[in-house]
Amino acid sequence: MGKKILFVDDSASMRQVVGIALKNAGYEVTTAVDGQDGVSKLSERFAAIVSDLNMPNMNGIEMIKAIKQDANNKFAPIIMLTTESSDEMKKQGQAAGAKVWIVKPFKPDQLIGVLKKLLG
Amino acid sequence: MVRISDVTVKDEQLYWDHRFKRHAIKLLPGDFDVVDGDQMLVTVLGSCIAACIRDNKNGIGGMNHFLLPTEKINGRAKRYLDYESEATRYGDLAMEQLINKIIAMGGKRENLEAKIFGGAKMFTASLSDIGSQNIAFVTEYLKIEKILVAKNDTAGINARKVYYIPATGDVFLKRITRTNNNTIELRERRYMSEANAARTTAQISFFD
Repeated sequence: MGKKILFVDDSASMRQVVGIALKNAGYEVTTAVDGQDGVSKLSERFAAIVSDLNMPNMNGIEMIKAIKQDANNKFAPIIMLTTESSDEMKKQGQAAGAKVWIVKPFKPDQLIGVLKKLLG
Repeated sequence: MVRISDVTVKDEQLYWDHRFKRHAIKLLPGDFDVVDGDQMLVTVLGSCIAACIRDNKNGIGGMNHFLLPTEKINGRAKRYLDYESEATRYGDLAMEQLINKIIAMGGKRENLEAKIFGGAKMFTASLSDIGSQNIAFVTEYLKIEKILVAKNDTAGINARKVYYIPATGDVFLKRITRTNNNTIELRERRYMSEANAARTTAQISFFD
């Protein structure tokens, strides 16, 4: 079984694109459509969490804060994958507990590279 | 400069439109903007695409104006999910930035509706088949995102001037018949070379 990754993005196309890339790289993928949906999946333990920032219901920063309170997943590295590139938002992400910030557009290989670096 | 990462409408792109009696924002190739008032977004399209997207309940919406970088299409951009393609990543970003901004300003994803324009087959041979690739891309993107296409006025041989009022969803479309003036073609060519030069690889920051 591959390592489990939670991928959270409100864009259906992004969920497909990233889902395929992660599966091809041998990971097991669970997807969620926004922060709230992501939090609802936390009964499972994930090796890493990859998330968009701007999402309805609960945004990425709020979701990171919730993950950091979750016994199962508080040590899972969180990778933000977002169109947002401002230093201010990056700082907020870092303060909330994100480990890596990737600014879209990205190449699927770049995301896989980051996961390999973090998870071995 | 390729404006793919920010809303970069400058002051000189804002004007008072006497005919429509409202504030207007003129978008150039590569731009996008979102409004939550009664302003109008205006653009002129040849082979480029403008996606006009709004929350049909609260009227928050905007417009983009983009073209897939041609040097990197290689016939692949038709398959939208081919994310190995540079063109796909570029187009995807153009759409996602617009939708993200609408949602950030209070639009709801489930209320979004789109009107799409442009993609004309016009001008000289080298620009001739670009329109259809762009139409295929935007159509497939909206289908995957389950965003309703309320109006589709694409293809054909004429350039278009599009006036879009997100608050009401109204569109006024003017077809531009061929003239001696090649401003639209020159502008699109310049934008295309910028798009071709743009690198769609990510910046990555590790926090330690």
